Amino acid sequence: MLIRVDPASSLPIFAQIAAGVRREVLEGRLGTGDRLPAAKEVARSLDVNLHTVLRAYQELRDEGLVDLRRGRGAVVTGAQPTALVEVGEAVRALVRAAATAGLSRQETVSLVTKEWS
Amino acid sequence: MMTTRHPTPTTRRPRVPGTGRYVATVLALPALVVVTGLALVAGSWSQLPAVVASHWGPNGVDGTQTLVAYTVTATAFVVGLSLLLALVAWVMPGDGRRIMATTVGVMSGFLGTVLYGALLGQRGVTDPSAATLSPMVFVLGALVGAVLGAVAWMLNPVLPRPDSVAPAVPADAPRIPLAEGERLVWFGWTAAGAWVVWLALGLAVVGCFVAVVAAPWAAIGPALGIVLLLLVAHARVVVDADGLRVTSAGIVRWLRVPLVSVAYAEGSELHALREFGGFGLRFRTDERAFVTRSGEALRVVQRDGTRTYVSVDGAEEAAAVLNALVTRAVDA
Repeated sequence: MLIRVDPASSLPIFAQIAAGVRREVLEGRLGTGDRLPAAKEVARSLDVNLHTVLRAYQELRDEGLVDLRRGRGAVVTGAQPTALVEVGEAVRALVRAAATAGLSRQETVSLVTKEWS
Repeated sequence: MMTTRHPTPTTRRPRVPGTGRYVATVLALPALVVVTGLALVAGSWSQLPAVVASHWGPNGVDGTQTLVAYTVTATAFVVGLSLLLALVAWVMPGDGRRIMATTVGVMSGFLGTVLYGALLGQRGVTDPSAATLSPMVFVLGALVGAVLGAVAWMLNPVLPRPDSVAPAVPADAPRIPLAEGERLVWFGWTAAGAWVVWLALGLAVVGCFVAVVAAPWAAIGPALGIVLLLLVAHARVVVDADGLRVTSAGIVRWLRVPLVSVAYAEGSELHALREFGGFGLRFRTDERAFVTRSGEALRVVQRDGTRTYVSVDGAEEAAAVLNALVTRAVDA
């Protein structure tokens, strides 16, 4: 399980931590019943405040991705991260549309990059 | 899968630092136990029976020896076992020797106290079959063992070794892209198979059996075995800006490799029995490992030439994270 945070990013650190966990779930590297590392350990390793990690875990709980229980920590429920699933579906639709329009991979990526900026 | 191995560093120092102190420790501590034990036995010789109890079972004494034979056997046992352990540890690297020196201290202190203590407890006894073995002998043995173990631990620090590998991550080594100032941590688990559950159940049965047949305190051994087994069977592997560490239950740290000591890392494979002779924390010449199973493993080459292995899933990614952190630290 890889979690990375960039203090220079415009995205809050708790959101970056939550995004890291979502990505692991979506890619199947975290499954039902898997336990997330203790918030204290994550905070120490990333050199961030403990409450920042707890906030990320609470956000994941609110999304139904993890179950927070006293004494057991954060346990993955098996639910899929809705937001990322939607992004995945949108990307697949984009690729299909680009192929239909005769756009190359490079041209499609350029369009996405331009839109992003 | 990802088993590309970079050449193993072959530069070896001619002599392990601290060897003299290690040899002195593993010889002096058992010698201290034996000399003290023999002196106490000699001082009580006239009060001891010619035939002494040498073995106890659930129903009391079930074995006897002559006083001379018991004294010689007890002494040979402590000396022989200590020398055997010291010999096994001879080829071990620095921290392995520290553990073995501590083991010699604990073992010689405990065994010597119990064996000579069981004999001294028979002062004034005329019928060896009526001799009793006080549980306090074992408590005293544990205390003496703990003290001698602590002495051996303090006398044999892990000494830094000279660097022999350049801290340059090979160009083809796995490495994840890392933005400036970005922080990252990799978490993994190293876990043994279902055999651990069966072994723990077996130990529980043995513990219940000896508790009923012998005495409740006799179950302490199997109970400690179960705790140790469960700690070894499941451990957290963490790679971050501090380096690599392997811990169990958040309290027992099996391994720690500081980032500043890492040359590079890579995904590898290991065979628990063939390469390391078992499970748990293992040591070989210039190599150490935390092994819970055979298969995928993280291999970390340190600047002093030693190699550390951890059996863990996702080893390639862990190596890529470690290499990225090492590269950034070296470039800084």
